[in-house]
Amino acid sequence: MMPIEPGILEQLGMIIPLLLLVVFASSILLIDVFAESEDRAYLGYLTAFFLFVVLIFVAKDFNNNNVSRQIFHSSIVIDKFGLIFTGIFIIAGILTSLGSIDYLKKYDIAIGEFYSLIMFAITGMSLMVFSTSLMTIFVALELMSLPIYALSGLFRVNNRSLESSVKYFILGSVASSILLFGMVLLYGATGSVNLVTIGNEITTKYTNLKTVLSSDPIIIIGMLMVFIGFMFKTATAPFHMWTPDVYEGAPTIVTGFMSVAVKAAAFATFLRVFGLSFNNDALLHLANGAISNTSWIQVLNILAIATVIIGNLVALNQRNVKRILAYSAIAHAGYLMIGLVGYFITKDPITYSALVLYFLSYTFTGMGAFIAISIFEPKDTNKVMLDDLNGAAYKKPFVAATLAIFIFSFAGIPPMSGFFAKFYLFKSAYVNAGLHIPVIIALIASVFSVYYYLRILVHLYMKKDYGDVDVKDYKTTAGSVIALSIAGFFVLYIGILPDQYITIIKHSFLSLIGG
Amino acid sequence: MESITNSLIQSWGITSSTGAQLVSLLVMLAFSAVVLIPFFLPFAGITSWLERRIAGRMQSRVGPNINGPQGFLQWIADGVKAMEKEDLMPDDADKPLFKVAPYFVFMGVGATLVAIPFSEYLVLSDLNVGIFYIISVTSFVTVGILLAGWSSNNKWSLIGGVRSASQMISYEIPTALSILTVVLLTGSLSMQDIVKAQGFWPWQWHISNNPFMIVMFFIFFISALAEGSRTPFDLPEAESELVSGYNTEYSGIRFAMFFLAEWGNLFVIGAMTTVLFLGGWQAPVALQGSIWNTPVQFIIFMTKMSAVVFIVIQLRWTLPRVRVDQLMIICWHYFVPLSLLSILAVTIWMALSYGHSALELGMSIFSAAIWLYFVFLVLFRAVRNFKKTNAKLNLNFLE
Amino acid sequence: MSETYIPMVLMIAIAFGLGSALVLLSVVLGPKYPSDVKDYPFECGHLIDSDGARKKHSIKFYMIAIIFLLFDLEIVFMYPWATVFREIGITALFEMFFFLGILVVGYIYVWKKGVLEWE
Repeated sequence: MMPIEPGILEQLGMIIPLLLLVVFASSILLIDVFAESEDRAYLGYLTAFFLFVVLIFVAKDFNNNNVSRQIFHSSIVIDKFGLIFTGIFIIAGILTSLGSIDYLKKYDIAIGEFYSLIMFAITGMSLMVFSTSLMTIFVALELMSLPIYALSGLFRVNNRSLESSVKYFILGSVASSILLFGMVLLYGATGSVNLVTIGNEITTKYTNLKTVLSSDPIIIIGMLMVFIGFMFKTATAPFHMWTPDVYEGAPTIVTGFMSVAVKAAAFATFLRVFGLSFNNDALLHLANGAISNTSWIQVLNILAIATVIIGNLVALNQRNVKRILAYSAIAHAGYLMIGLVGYFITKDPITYSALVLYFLSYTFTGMGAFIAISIFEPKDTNKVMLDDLNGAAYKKPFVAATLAIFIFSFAGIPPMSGFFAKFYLFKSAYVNAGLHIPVIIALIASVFSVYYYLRILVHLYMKKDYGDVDVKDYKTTAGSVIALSIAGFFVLYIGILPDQYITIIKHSFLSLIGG
Repeated sequence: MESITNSLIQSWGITSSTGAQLVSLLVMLAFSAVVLIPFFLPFAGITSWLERRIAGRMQSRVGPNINGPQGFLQWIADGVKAMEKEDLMPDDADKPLFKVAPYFVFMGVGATLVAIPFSEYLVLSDLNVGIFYIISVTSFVTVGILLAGWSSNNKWSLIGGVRSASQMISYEIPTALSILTVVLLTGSLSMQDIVKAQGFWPWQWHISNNPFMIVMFFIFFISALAEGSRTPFDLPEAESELVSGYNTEYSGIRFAMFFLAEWGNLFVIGAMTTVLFLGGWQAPVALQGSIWNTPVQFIIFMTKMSAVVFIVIQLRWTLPRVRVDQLMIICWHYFVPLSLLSILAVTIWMALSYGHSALELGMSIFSAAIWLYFVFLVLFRAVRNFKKTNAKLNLNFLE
Repeated sequence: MSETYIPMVLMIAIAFGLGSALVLLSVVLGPKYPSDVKDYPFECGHLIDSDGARKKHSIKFYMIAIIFLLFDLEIVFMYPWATVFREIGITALFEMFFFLGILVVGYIYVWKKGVLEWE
């Protein structure tokens, strides 16, 4: 027998959730092609079940995992930070697969690839937050993006869906190549693709930004390019332009998944990369007079403020519900960016847990809102105008009620989770990180945001002319109801009793820093 | 190559590095010219003559027998005739592409010769990615044929070109997978290393490493036929369906270049099969290690290669042409899964037999026995049928 | 290093030169009698109304091209693995099992979707 590499089985044991995801995704694909009947609804339930199984494994790992160790030649690390985000992606996946059953049936799209692609995308996201190597990050990013490109073009005969897919694909490829080029430059400058090694290299070489700039501008350029790549995926200004079109054209349920899971994955990786590699004070803070007193923090701050303002202001004037939610997704990216900046400044558990809690809350809220909207979406026009929602609450009281919960949560009205998450995020950014101006602007902006959020509710509950929407379109089965109930329950639960979640999240903080 | 250059440099007493470089460049130039012009071209030509003679034999007719002894010079006559023809080009053709297409085909075949080892020392360049290089430059031929089909602006040409492209790229997968097993056994991509990993005796060849290598050999051989567009896979130029396929609009010397390349490709198929599976130039141990043994090794190599080429020619005149759908189904439904399975089997066998040289030798002899049994069976049946029909044994092809 | 690649360039150059020489000879030796009929594409007698060949093709060819790209890339990844298989040992075997497993899933999927069927 040939020799076996020592420790390989142990390492494989550590990535069981990832392996399971791939195996399950493949089996969904195979079940789909071998299935006799035309009905594909059971695949949605099966996917949800599979994802739930993975979630159990992730939770088990989370409880047992105390030391984070770099495995597979330092390309990935299984730590609590990654596991908690994997959990978030899987939750988004469960809600998507449950919520999509009705939606796909409405449009007579009986394809199992949908679920398989969702699972592959989740695999990519999980791998991306676990990876500590630039190579792995890029591969995982593509593994995440390619299924999403395909999913946004799910309605092949619909022009808007196609436009969305192609637009996302082309812009996404450009962003990916910029990211890759940045990675190449970083590798060239430091001689390593490992994030920790890059970080150490930068720290030992440079004490302030001036030395970096004078001796090795490649690091700054590479960092900037990596930065742009992630900004694209997180849809922060000025790289947000694709968001409204893509979110509007893509199938509603996919839009939900994109706005929640993809964004969370990109932010988490952002945090990982910049937390491990560029946590050097020279790059983050000092910059004494190097580029006219501008530090990365200030750049990020300005971008965050711009994102918040653009997202909220443009949303005010929209009449298309998906566009409203798309712009609100941009606004939320801005809030998250403020939290991220706060974390980079303080690097303490409080800002960190505020950020992650916001993701958790946003996952339930965003997925729930998009599932509810997808139920109200009229079949023939394939887009949801505000008028389409007129009086819908009287036809589907349950769905409308949950939608109201999610909308309140988006707007940040207590006792929904959105309120607490936003409060916690802003408080930590204001008090702990001292980001006074961004937080105040964000607060004012979120006051504006209440207008367009509540407008949806006005149309739902207070307009009596039912429009000419066919009642048959509003069909709901167990899948959507379960998904909405789960999301609604957790939105309320996190809003009322957030303490235990914060405790869990704080556990994952140490591992991030440990690397 | 290097040792030849070195001995030359020594015997000429050259010391300066520029001089040495010049000598090595000259040697390379001479050798490439020797390989290509007086070796490759006549080889392709003679093969064309041989093919037509064998075809005549097999179909009870005469074949070319006028020019030269037994029509041996027919290929020169054909070449001169092709040169004297008008070089036509359709009005609607994409002229630059139309002109450049034959060169691609020609260069694709010519470039493969760089990495083929004729003997222990007689190799133009022992690239460390040799086999990979050959796989990639053969794609030139696909490009050329597709260009020819597209630029002619003729429906038959285009169908021929597209068929050819789909056929060649489809069969590239089983080919590459079967070459992969050889690389697995060798642990190197260099052609010389692949030959050196084998031995003179049949059980030392890669084909008899284990029974699955026999499967891989057949997959490689058949896929190589398909890649070289040889019957039964000559769909791209199926005369009965597509006039003449991708070269319908070509005439004169450009047309001849396509055919030259095709017969040159025959040589490449034979050489590749020999190098990868049949032991290459390997001679008995006593006849190795010295540059003076080159002729022996060269003859061994050429013998094996000629045998393969003969089989290919014989197949052409024995088998009917397959249909397009059959062609694709053979590749995608049978060859790809079969080669994937074989790769798994070979790797598992390698892992199990690792470090047990007696086990490996036993398996080699066993599987050599298997394929030698089949070879003898074929020969035996041929002789028996021959006797049954009471025909006169006449092996003189030249009559 | 570069020495091993010089012959490659040389050989391609010689092949190109040989081709050009043949074509040049043909230009010198061959006749030139252009005529309208000769310049038409040869499509079995459809002379005047030949509407060119650049048209849409069966989707099959495109599908084959895409699948080929996929498989070829996978095989390219397998070559480096094959060269170091003996050195890495059993680990490489399991890694390739997993890799091939995913490839085979895709293969079965493509097969069942009917991409590999002709007619």
